[in-house]
This record gives sequence, C-alpha cells and structure tokens, in this order.
Amino acid sequence: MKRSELNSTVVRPKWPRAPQYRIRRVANDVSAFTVRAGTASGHLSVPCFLNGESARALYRWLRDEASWGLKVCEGSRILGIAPEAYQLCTPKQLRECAQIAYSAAERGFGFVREEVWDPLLCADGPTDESGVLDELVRFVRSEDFGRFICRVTQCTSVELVRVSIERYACGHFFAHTSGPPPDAEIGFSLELTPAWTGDWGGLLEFVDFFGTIERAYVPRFNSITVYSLLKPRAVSLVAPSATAARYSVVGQMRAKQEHGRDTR
Amino acid sequence: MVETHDNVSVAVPDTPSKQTTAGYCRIELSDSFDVECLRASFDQKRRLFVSHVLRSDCAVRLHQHLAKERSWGLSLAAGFIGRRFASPAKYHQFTRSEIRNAFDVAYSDCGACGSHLFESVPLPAPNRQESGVEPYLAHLAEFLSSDAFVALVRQLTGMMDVRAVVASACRYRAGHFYASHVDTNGGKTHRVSFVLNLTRGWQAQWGGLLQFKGPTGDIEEAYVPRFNSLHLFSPTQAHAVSMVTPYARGARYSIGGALVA
Repeated sequence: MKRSELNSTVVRPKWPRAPQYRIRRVANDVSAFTVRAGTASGHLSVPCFLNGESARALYRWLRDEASWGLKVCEGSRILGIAPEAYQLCTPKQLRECAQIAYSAAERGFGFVREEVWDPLLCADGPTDESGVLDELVRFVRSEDFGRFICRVTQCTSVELVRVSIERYACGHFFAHTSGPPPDAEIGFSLELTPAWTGDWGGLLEFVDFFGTIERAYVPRFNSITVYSLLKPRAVSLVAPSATAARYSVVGQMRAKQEHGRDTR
Repeated sequence: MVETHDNVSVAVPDTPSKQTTAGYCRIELSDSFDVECLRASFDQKRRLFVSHVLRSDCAVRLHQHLAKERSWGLSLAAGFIGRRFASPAKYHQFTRSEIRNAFDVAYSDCGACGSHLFESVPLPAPNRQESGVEPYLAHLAEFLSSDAFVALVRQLTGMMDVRAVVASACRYRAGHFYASHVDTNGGKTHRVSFVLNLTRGWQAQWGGLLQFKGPTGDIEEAYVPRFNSLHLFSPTQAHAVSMVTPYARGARYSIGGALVA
C-alpha cells in the first residue's frame, strides 16, 4: 500500500500521551524449550505479550476509532477500497468483492480482509505524535521489540519491513501462501481479539511438507505468533457463525545488514 | 449446486442419482500396513493415520458410488434444537428457504459442542435383513464389521474388545462443518472412532479438515482428507471438521463412525 494511494485527509484521533498508556510488552522470558521448538517448526506463539492495559487500549482503538478499508487479492492483483468508499458499499457489492477472492482462491491464491488505512503504516519511521497508532508503530520499530524477535528467532539483529493492521470478518480468509517476499524472512501476528473460538475459523494455519496442517493457532487475545516466512501458511475462512471480528497487527521483518554482513 | 448466502456459499441438494448395484466389487483391505509403527502412533497420540487402506479398485468404486449413485439426507445439530436428520426423500423436497434456514440454525449456535451441518446417510446394521436397504450400503456395512477390518483395528489400537461398527456415509459441501466435539453414543460403548476418506484431490485451503485440538486449545494437527486413507482415534479426543469454503472444488466424501465393544 503506497502512501500516494491513501486518502490524505485521513484524520487520526489524538490520544494524550501519558506514561501509563505507552505500549509495553511483558518482560517475561521465552523459555529455551519454546525457542528450540519454534526454530524446529518455523513458528511459535507467546501468550500475554503486551501488558494488559496496552492490549486492551489497542483493541478499543481498533474496534471504535480505526478507519477500515477492504483489500481483495485476485491472484497477482490486489484491489483496495478506501474506508470512505467501503462504508458506502452495498451487501451485493461486498458479496461480489468476496466472490473475486473466492474465484482467485479456487485458482490457487487469494484473500479478502479489512485493513487499517493510515499513512503512518507506510511511513519510513515513527512520528513524534502521541496517537495510538503512533505508539504502536513506535513499539514495533523499537529495540525492545527487535530484541524479542531476535530472542525467539535466534537472529542477531532485525528490522521492520512492513506492518499492517488486519481485521477478518465473516467470509474473509487468506488462502495458503508459500515462499517469502524478497525483502523479509520473519513474520509476526499480534492477536487482539478478546474472545475467539476455533470453530469460527480465522485460525493461523501452518502447513508441513506433506500438506498437513501441522499447527493452527486460535487467535488468543494478546498472544503473538512469530514465524518463518518460508513456511506455507493461511488464515482459515471466518465462518458465518462468528459473532466477532478477528483483529491482529501483522508485520514482516528482515535480518538487518550490519557492516555489509548478513546477520542471520 | 451452490448458492451464496450471507457471503458464504451454501450447498443445496442435487437431484438424487439413479441407484445401481450392478458391478460393485467385494470391498477388501490392501495388504501392506506397518502395524508396529501405526500402533506406536496410537499409543502415543491416541490417533493414527493409514494411507492406502483399501484395495485401490475398491476405493475407486466406493468413491464412485458416493459421488454418483447416492441420495443424501441432511444432518443438523445446534445447541438449542439438538440433533435433526432429514431423510434423503425429505431433504430433496426442501425449498431454498428451508435450506437457508437450516444453515442459519446451524450457524446460530456453531460454538455449541457438536454443532454440525452436513449431508449423510446412515449405514444399516450389518447382516440384518431389512427391506428397502440398498445392497451397496449393506455390503459396505458388512465389510466394516467383517473379521478382516475389525481385526485390523484391534491390531492397530490394541482395543481387543471392539466387535461391531456404527457408521454413516458423509458428504461435506460448501458451508458444511462439524464443530469441536467428542464422540459419545448414549449408553453404547464407543471404543474407537474412525473416518475413512474417499475424496479425490482435496486441498487444505478448501477447509473440511479433520482437526484435533491440543491441551492449549490450538489445533495440534489438521488432516487433509486424502483419498483411501483411514483415521483411527480415541473418541474422547476433541476433534472437528472445519467449514468447507465457498471455493472448494467438489465435495468431501467419507465414511465416519465408531467401533463399539
């Protein structure tokens, strides 16, 4: 999503920056066993990642204040509907959008989901402002977050390549993809849905060599799943029975080059 | 036939196929199982997976029967209404409104343990002379209760007291699912649950996966329904069949049931 494609009149709500609202993670260590298991399998999940107030505040912002547009992948093309236009879509138009994604998935790969549209998510660096989104971007670019990613992936140093905020509602999905992007090796998904049951779908699935789903993570509130982008993965279809939407902060990172050396 | 309902395609019953009993071969097991390895898997995880379980031509014929010659009923369960089954004759008479209503009911309580919606036909009790029982289904029921199949299950699971089978033929199409549940059968003693997969060319992204939950609530393993494969698992393991997606190409066929003591 390029900055030029976004609506420049998006107004981000301000949020008074007070120490207790800074986004912070819980400083508990991830066990060596978990790290080893994650390294072997290519994915691991850590519960209770942010401190409680941070997680709840983020969720409230996502639920009540964020501007959501629609993203539909039709094979090699990605179609976006800005929030203002998305709010005006009729049910028939939304079904047609979903059908585009379904047809693409039938041919091999497709997805449909909502995403937060904000120039800050495309910025090269954090701002000095004190909004919720500013805090979030600051956090995922912070050294502390980088240290956590290095700890669980056993990389020496990492840097954020891209971050998005995603919402999957009924009928939304991300069909199986494999193969990393050219500029990133590590992915993460920070889950911010308060109550979710596996029967609603929306599971973050990882596929093994034989095509079996070797693990499917229920998006537990305030858990973070870190994974290798080499791993085939998907978000399963959210069932019509789901009574909530599935929120997550999703990002991709690369091992940072230091002194011309790959630090993986 | 598939229609779209609330952004998810739903399957409507198709025209009942012409029943034929001509030309069906005797169903037999294939003859190559790594019993030791499979038994170890069951002992460790209380579930196992066997590929190429039937002789190839038998599996092909069975799939042909399910795909082309079967009439299907509708099995529905939701927390507040319990379980319901519409016979093939009745299901074929459903209006589109009634079908949508069935989906709405199933989805309204999808989180309830055992909520489900899929097409099925119960297999008759083996060796019973009942009028109107289709010969091929009766033949299939006889095979599942045969000495050969029961002996294989005993070998692979160590459950030496299993002796009989209760089973249904199942078809999952777009929008169908079986929410997380454990297998019980009122007063009968379910000892081992099984799923015999008879779907060709299924892909993981189409849903319809047999999922097993771990202690954390995450899905520990989810199996793509591979043709001519067999799952045996402890009925007390929480499991589910994930929703079949609108972009699935075709239907998911299986024989599911349990061996009882």
